[in-house]
Amino acid sequence: MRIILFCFLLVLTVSYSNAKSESLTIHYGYVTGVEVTTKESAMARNMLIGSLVGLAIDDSFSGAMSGATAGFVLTSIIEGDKRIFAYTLKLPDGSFETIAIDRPDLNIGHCAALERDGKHVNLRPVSAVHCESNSLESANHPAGEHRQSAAEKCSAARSILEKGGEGVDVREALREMRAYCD
Amino acid sequence: MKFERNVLWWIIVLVGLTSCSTTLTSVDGKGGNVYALPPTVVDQILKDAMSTEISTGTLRRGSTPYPSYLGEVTWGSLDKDTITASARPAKGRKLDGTIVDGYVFEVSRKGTAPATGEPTVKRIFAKLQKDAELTGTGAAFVEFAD
Repeated sequence: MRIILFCFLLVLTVSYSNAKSESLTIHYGYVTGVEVTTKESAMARNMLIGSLVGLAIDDSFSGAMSGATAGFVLTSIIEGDKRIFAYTLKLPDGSFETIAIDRPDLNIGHCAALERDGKHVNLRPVSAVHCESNSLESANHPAGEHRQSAAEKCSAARSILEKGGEGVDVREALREMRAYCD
Repeated sequence: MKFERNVLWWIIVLVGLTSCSTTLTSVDGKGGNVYALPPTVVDQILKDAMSTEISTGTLRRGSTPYPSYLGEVTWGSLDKDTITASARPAKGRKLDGTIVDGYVFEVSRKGTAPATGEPTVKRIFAKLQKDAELTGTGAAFVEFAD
């Protein structure tokens, strides 16, 4: 009976981890605008919030938020703000996405990968070849599988570090984070 | 004349050996970030940052109840700075308003070798800051918990 229960839990765990990795999406786009702003301003303007700023938000707040939610959140913020950067990306389908993130090293004309996995939102500079393809499917891009894998590993390392606990290889998780999240 | 020269010499020596200090922190008067990370993770981040700048012979764990490391750097044969990197427990507020426990990173130097110590603390702090921000666990500083 215990073995059956154990197997059932194992299947559940595997299903869950698979579902998590499948939710990860990568879109490539050229940076068309950069604006220095604050997290409060970015939230009030309903931007996609990433990295440091985004992960401070609870799961239920993942991704872009409604104006009403942002308004509620704004009222709860008392502390001073920190500079963040709002990057506007032009995606291959012609649409635009603005993401607020703490990294200052992107500029207009750079090609960037926008990675989304639940509450994890990351933006990183990539080779321009990713932005030149017309396909929207990340797997169809050159080295698309590699990018997908890197984004998954970044997300997994961050989750491990956030939770910590006994038996966790912290050094390995930090190495993975430095290698795949930067 | 000889007496004046001796006095001048001693003044130069005393000024050279006078201890001074610097502290860099992830929070200041305008706010800053608390990183909601477990102590084991914070400890490893501190150790990694310090071990790239401080020789293993002098690197040791601090005596504070929270994670900290210290070690020495030298300038010439006489001057020495003690570099301390620590993670002070603090409370932070997430954007949804909830309060979380976390750590504030601080790096300080104290001693008579600012020429070596100043750039060292800056590099260590930059490493800590980069690692901490990559974890994506930042929350706005509310208060220290220690």
